[in-house]
Amino acid sequence: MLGAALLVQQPADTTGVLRGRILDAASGNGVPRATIAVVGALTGTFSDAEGRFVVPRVPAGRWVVRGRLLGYSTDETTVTIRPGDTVTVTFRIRREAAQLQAVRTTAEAPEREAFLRKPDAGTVTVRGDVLKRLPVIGEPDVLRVVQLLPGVVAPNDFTAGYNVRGGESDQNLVLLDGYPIYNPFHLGGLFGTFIDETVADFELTPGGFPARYGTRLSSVLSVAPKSEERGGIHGAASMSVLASSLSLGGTTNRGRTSWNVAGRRTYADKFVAALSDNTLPYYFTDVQAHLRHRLPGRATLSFTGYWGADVLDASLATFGDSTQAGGGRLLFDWGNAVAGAAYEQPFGAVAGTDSAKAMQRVSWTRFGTTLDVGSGSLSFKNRVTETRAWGELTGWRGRHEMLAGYEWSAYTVDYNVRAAQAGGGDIFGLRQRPSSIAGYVDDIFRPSSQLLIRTGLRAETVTGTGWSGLSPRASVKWLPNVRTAFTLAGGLVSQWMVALRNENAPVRVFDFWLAADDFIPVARARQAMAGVERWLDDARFVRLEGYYKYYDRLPASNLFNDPDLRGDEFIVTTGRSWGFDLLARQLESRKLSGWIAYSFAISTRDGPQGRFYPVHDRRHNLNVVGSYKPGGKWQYGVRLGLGTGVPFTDIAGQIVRRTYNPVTNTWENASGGPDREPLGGPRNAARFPLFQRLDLSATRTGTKWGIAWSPFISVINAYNARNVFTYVFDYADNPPTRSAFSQFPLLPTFGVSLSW
Amino acid sequence: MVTRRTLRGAVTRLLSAACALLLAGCEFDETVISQTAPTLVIHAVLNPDQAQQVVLVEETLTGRVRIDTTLTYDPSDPIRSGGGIPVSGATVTISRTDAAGTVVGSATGVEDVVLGASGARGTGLYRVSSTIFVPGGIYTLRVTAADGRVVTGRTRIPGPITREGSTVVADTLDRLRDTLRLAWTPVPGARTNTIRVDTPRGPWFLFNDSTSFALSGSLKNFFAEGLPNVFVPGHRQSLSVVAVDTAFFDYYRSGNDPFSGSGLINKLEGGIGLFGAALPLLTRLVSVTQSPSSPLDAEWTSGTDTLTLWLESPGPTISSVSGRFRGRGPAGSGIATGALGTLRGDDLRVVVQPEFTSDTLGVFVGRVFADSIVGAWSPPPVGALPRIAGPRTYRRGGAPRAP
Repeated sequence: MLGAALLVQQPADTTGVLRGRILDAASGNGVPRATIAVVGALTGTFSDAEGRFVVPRVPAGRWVVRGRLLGYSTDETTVTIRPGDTVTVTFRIRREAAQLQAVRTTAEAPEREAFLRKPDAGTVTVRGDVLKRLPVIGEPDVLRVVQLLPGVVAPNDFTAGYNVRGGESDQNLVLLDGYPIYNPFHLGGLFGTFIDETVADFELTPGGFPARYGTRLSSVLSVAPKSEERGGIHGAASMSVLASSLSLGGTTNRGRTSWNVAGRRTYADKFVAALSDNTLPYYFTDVQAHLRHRLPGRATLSFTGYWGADVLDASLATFGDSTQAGGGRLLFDWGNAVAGAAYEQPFGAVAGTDSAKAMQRVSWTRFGTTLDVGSGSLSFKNRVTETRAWGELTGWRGRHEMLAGYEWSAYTVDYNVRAAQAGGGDIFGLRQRPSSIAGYVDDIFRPSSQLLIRTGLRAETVTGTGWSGLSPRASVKWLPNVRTAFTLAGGLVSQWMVALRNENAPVRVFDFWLAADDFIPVARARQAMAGVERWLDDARFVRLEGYYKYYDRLPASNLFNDPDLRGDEFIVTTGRSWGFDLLARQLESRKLSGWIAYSFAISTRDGPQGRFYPVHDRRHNLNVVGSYKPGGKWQYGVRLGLGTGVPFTDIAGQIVRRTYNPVTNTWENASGGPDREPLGGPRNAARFPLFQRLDLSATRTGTKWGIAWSPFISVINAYNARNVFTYVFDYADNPPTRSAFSQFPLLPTFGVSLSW
Repeated sequence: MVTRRTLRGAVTRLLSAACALLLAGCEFDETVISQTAPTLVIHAVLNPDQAQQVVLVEETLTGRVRIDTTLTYDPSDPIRSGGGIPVSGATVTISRTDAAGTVVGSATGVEDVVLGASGARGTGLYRVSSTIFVPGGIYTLRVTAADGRVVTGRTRIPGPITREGSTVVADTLDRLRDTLRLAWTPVPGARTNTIRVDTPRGPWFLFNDSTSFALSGSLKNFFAEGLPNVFVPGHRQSLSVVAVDTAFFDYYRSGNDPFSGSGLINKLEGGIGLFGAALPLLTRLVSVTQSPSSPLDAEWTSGTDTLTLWLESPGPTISSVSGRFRGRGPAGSGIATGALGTLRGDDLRVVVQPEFTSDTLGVFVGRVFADSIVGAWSPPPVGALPRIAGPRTYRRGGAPRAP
C-alpha cells in the first residue's frame, strides 16, 4: 500500500488553501455571495449560503485577502500561505456603506463559534488531527476518543462502544457525513470503523438535540469526512501493529471537484501465515470515499461511501490440534455499508428571506452479521438496511434562522436462525419492513445579542407500530457577556430501531437489530438539561451541565422469552438517568491542549423483577486528556482515566445441569464434563473496583523527500493497573474462590504515519 | 425449533472463546469468598415406559464441599461422579392426582447406595417403582431433605398415545448421501417433542413442534466441543423422538447467562431443577456408514479381528477416524463395537469403545501403509479386550461394511 502511495506521489505543491467564513458582524450569520479576493494573486471565490468559502491553490506567499459585498463594509486581513497548508480566516462585515476601515481578524475555533451562535447544550467538537495526538490502541480511533468525552462511559477496555448519559449503547445515533451507520465497530467492538485519516472532525451531542435529529434516544455522533481542497494528489498512509491504511485526495476540474479515498486492512492473518505454519483466519477492512463537486450556481453535489467488514472464516480444525476435526467451517462476518449523496443549493434572498438554501440527501445503509457455528449446522443472520431520504429548507431572515425538513426511511430487517442440516428451513425467521416518516421545523431566534432561543417540533410515525408522536425540542442560551452562557434545554425523543443485545456480556460477538412493531414498543425518553459555560480566553473554557432523563417504554432483552411466542423477545422497562458533566478544555491552538472531563451519573431501570442498575452505571468518571507540542518535532500525548466500578451481578453459587436420556432412563453430564451454571444474586447489585489507566504517547514529525514522517509510540496502561474485566467464580472448591481477570495490561504499540 | 438454550449454547461458546482470548494470561487475583447457603436441586423426569422413575437430589455448589473433579462419570453414582453434591436420606414421594388435585396414588423413592472407602453411602439417586405412572397422568413431587428442607413440583405426563404411527425411513444411514426422515403421531398434553441422537461425543437434541423431521447425514453437533459430526461411520446410534411436558421444555430451553447467572426457568418450589415428564414416541438404532472416499476407508483384517475404518473428518494436520471393531471378546464371544481415532500423517490411533458409553476397551496405535496397518493394541487397559492385546498387522480388505 505504501508502495502504491509513493508511486502516486506528486511533485511538491507550491500552493496552499485559504478557507474561512464571512459573517454579518451584527447578527453573526454567514453572509452569502460575498466576494473573497486574494489581492495580487489573481484568485478568489464567492461565499456560499452560510458565508463559507474555500480558495484552492493559492500561491505560497504573504497575501492580503479581502472580503466584501455590496451594501456591506469591506474587511481584509493578511495571511501567509505555505505550500500544502490550509489557512483559515474569518471576516466580519457590517451593513454600512463605504466604511473602508480595515479590521484585522483571526480564525475562530468552531467551539467558540458554537458557543456564541448555537443554543445547543453539551455539544463537543473534536478535530480529526486530535486523534493522532493522543495515545492509541493500535490505531487512532474516533470512538476511543468519544469515550473520553464528558457524559460518556465505556464499560471496559475491550469495547469501543459507549454509553452516553446513562443511555444504552444502541441509543447513539452515529452519522458519517450525515448518513446513519448502525454498528460502527470491528472485532467484537474492540475497534471503531472510522479511518482516522478520513476524519475532518466529529461532534458529539449528548442530549438536547435539535429537531432535525431523531431515531435515537441518547446521543448524536456526527463524523465529518475530510474534503481535500488542494490541487494535485495528496495523501497519508500509516502503518501500525494492527493495520495499515492509505488515504488519497485531491481536486480536479479547476478545484471544483474534490475527492478523497481511503482504505485500511489488518494484516495479522498475513503475518501469521507468512511467518509460521499457523493460521489466524481473521481480518477486518474498511474502504471510504468522499466526492464533492461544485456545480454552477454555487450548488454542491457530494457523495460519501463506506464499506467495512470483519471476516472470520476457517475450518474449526485450524484453531488447534483438534482430535475432532469434523466441526466444519466457522464463519463470522460483520459489516457496515453506507452510500449517500447530498445536493445543496443556496438560493440567495428568496421568498422573503435574506438568504435561503436547500439540502437533499439520499442514502442507503446496511448492517449485516452472520454467525455460522459449523458449516451451516446452526447459523444466525441479521440484515438491517435503511434507505433514507432527508431534505431541508433553511432560511435566514432578520434575527431568525428557520428550518423545515423531512426524513423518510424504509427499513428492511431480516433475522434468521437456521439449521440447514436439521429440518431444512428457518428455525426462526423474522422479516420486518417498516418505514418511518418525520417532518420537523426548527427556529433559532436571536432577540438580542445576549439571548438565543431554539424551538423545534418533530412529528414522527412508524408503520406497523400504530404509533405516531410529537417530539417538541427547545433550548435557550443566555449570554450575559461574551464569555459566559447559561443554557436550558429539553425535549422528547423516540427510537424504533433497537438492538437485541445482552448488556451483561462484556464483549459483543453477535448483535442484531429489530424494528418496533406490534410487540416491540417505540421507546421514548424525556430529557432536560441546564448548564453554564465560561470562556477564560479564546482557547479555554469550562462547562458544567446537569441533566435528567426519563425513559418510557424502553425495550430490554427478555431472558425468559418463549421461542414459540412471537413478541416476548423484549420486556418493557422504564428508567431514569441523572447527573452532571464538567468539561474544562483548552483548544488545540496552544502548545498544551486537551481536556479534563468529569462526569457524575446515576442510572436505574425498573423492570418486571424490580429496580436495578444498568451495567454502564459508572457513578464517577474522570478523564484527563492532554497533548503537548513544545515547538520542535516532538509531540506528547497523555490520558489518565479514573472511574468508579460499574455494576455486575455477584454469583452466589453454581448448579450442575443434568441431561435426561429417555432411552436409557439415566441422567448424564453434558459432553465435556459437568454443565456447571452460575446462580446470580441480585441483579447488578455488586460493583467492580475502581478503574484507573494511564496512557502515554510520543510522536516525532520530520520531513524527508517531501513527505512528513511521523513515527509514534503509545503505551496503554503505562503502570499496568489491574482493572477488573470480569470475575470467574469457583464454588466447586472449598473454600470457594473468585478469580479476577484484567482489562488491558501494559500494552505498547507503535507505528508510523506519513503525509504528503 | 432451536431453543434459547441452543442459541445461547452456541453464542456463549463463541463469546466464551472471545472472552478466553481476551483473558488469556490476564488472571491476576484469586480471592477466597464466603460460602453461601445451599439450595436443593432436583432432576426428575417421569417416563411411563420405564419401570422405575429416577429422582436425583443434590444441592447447589456453594463452596461448602470441594468437588473431586478427577472422578470418572459413574452411572451408579451419577451425582458425585458428575461433579455434584448428593443429598442422602431424603424422603421422595411422587403422588398421582386427579384434575381436582386429589391424591389417587403415591409412591416413595428408595435411595441407591454404593460402597465407598468408608462404607456404604447414599448416592442421592432415588428410584420410585410403581404402576401409577401412566400417560396423561398428573403428578406431584415432594422431596423432604433430612434437615427439613422441602421441594415440591408438579407435572403431567403427555399422552395417552391415541394412534400408533411413528416411522423412520431407514435403519442404515450413509451420511454423505442420506437424509434421515422421521415422522410420528402427536399426543395430547405434550408441550413439544425432543429429537435426540446419541453420538460417541455426547448427545445432540432439538425441540420440534411438528410431526416430522429430516436429519441430514452431515449434521454437526453444536452441543459438543469442536462441533463434531453427529453421525459417525461405524457406529450404531440411538435415535429417539420423545413428547415432553412444559417443565421439561422450559428447563432445557433456558439456561443461566454466564455473566448474570440468570435466565434458567425453574418451576420447582423450594428448590431448583426439573420435575418433568417424557413419553417416548419413537426409538431406533441407526447404523451409520459412508461411501468410501479415502484410502483408509476399508475393512482391515488380522486373523479373526476386523477393523472397519473411515476417514471420518479430514483436517489440515490431524484427521479424525471412526469405524468398528469386530472380534472376539474376553469370554470368546463375538464383539462388534464402535471405534474412534485420529490419523496424523500415517500415524493411526484407534480407541475402541463399548456401544453407548465413553469407556475404553482397547487402544490401537499403528502406522498405515498402502495395504496394511502395523501396530499394537497397547497398553491394554484393565478390562480391555485381552485377545487383541499385543502387536497386529491388519491387511486391507474390501470396502467398509455397515455396522
